[in-house]
Amino acid sequence: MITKVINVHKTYGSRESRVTALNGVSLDINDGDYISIIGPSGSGKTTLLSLIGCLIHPSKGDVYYNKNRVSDISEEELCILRGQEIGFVFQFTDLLSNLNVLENVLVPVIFNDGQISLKKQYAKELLERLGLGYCMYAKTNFLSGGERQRVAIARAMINRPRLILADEPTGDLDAKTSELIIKLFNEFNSEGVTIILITHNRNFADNAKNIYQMGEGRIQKILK
Amino acid sequence: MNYFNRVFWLARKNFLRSSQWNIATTLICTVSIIIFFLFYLFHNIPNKLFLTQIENSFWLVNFLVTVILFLNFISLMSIFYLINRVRSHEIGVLRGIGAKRGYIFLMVMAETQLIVIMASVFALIISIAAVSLWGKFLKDIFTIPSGIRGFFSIFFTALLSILSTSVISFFAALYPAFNISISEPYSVMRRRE
Repeated sequence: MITKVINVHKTYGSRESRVTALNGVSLDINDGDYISIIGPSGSGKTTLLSLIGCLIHPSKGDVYYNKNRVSDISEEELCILRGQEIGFVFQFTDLLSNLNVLENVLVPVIFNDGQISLKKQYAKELLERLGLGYCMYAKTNFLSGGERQRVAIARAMINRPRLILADEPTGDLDAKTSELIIKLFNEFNSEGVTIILITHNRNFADNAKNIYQMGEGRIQKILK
Repeated sequence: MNYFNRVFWLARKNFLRSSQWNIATTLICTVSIIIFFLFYLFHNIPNKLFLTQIENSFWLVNFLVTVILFLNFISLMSIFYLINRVRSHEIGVLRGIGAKRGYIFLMVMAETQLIVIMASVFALIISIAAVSLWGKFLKDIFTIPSGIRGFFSIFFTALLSILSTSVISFFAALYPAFNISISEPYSVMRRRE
């Protein structure tokens, strides 16, 4: 098992401005799983993903990663964990505009072991595989939405993570490009990478082995 | 790649981007170095006409330089704070993909010092050109010592002005760099521009 989420609550703000994002969510994530989370905006999907990715701590309940309670892991160790074991694909393609495509993919290496020269070849292979071999040295401002999202996927994969967390990666993309992105996730999952995908599109969610529907801060239905 | 190189790898890339903030910060540093340089140089080298007045103006010069450095500190601190505020989403992403707090802090500090180095180059060129022109056209009232003595008086004044601006910008960047480095990745990622 990679991650275990036990009766997690998460609230933001205090007193009159308090917002409850998660209201008692439990979830087990095993190696090789492919989970889709669907649900309306404000149902707590991104908050759940952030908890699983060790970006935030729960207000109540526990999150375990590799059988270790995340709240007991030091901030330094969490950074190493995020860098080495988890790959994030954010909703808005958050690439660094001052770096080219290849450098963007190599950024997590800087935070991990710093062996850029060793990982450069793998980064190039990843970009070739994602169909971006022709624009490795281009600035990211000149790329289309689909290309940017694929660069973000390559960046998430560069440290060969066990777990990929994708927060609406197809949100801003056309149908054809979205299908390509989902196909890539299917490929990575077939190679043993655990994927958690947040999407609004039920067709894309159907690619996953498990589908959870969220609403009002909890998992309302297990659709698959 | 050692830790120092890793910090500078990203700091260098960030520094080179054409940002209005970087330009503004460089300008503030440049102007500050120039003013500091000219104040001290005019104060320290022989002046035929105003020699007696300048001899008595040691405290005035120091007071003015202190005011300039203080204003420099305040403006640099606000501008560094604003830069980091604008970049908070980017910093959040870096934290999300594994950047440690220490790395972010050192990266922001390194960017600051790179700005000071660039400003120093500009300021030195402008200051020395200004002093040369001043000396050429106003040689009756203002004389730069020639030879090795002149070189050292300019060299040490330049060094003093660059060092003082460097120290000021270092302290001005401390709080903004610390502030952004301790932010939680999720909260800074949600804080969009």
